[in-house]
Amino acid sequence: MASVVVESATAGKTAFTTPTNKIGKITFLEIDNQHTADITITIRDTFTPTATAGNTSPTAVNKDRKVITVKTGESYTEKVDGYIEIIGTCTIIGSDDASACKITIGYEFE
Amino acid sequence: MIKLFTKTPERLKENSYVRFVGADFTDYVKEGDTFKITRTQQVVYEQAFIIPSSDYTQLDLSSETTTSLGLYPTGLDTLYEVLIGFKGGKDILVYPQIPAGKYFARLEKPELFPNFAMTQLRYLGYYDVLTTPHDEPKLRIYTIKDLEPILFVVYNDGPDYEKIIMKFFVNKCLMERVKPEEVPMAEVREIIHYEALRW
Repeated sequence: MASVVVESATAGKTAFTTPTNKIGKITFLEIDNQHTADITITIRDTFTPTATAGNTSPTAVNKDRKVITVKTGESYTEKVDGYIEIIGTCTIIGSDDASACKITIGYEFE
Repeated sequence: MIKLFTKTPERLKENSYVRFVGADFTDYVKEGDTFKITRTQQVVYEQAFIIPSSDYTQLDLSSETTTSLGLYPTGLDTLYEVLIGFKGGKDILVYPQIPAGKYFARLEKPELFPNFAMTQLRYLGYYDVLTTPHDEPKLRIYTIKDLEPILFVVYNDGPDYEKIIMKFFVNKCLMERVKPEEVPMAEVREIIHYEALRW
């Protein structure tokens, strides 16, 4: 299992990109918010679908897979057991730019 | 030429024989034509597709266009034996058609052919990740140059976007034409034309 640590950023930070022939699974999530305010973290999956009957010229799609708010000075830990699937690029978006709020994502590809 | 097995079938090996039966396949491979496999090469090939909920795409397995998957040989002396397995896309249903517009798997009652637009016909004649998983593929097709294209209609029956990865184990077989009477029947693997399989 791989893991990555990113800081809360309103512009978003890329955690990982799922290879084309794989499905990404988030297995572990930890948010340590030592920032001066509560922070809401969004886990976003960005991918471009295949051309279909319903959309012959698809463009990139953003799907928010999970949203969690962590109060200032608190931390949140979750063993996810792979129920958050990422089929494209996983971006972590924070409600505030905060180097004191660290997000650890554990993930694997299947 | 399209067959779903209960376990992963063995691939063709060098010095084995194949016979094309059921109908003429192309202008140069006629019913009863028999070939010896002289060389093989195994090529793994994967393609992934992301399909929105309640939407579908059509995949052309042939090598006829720039967007087709290229699972048909371009040489007259080549046979592709392709095992197909799926990964992901647990709600994706795959319906084979050959030729285009004509579903391969159906039942004999006239109205019982696949139609994903109708809930009572959606779960008829499809393959999914459970019937042929990528690590134990059970769906096998044979292709030769100029055979009618096999199409896969790929429908997402789930509530969200789904990604399906199709893994193709291509056994490229170089064929040498032999006289049918020179080959004992027991040693020949028959490749049955799709029209003979769809009665």
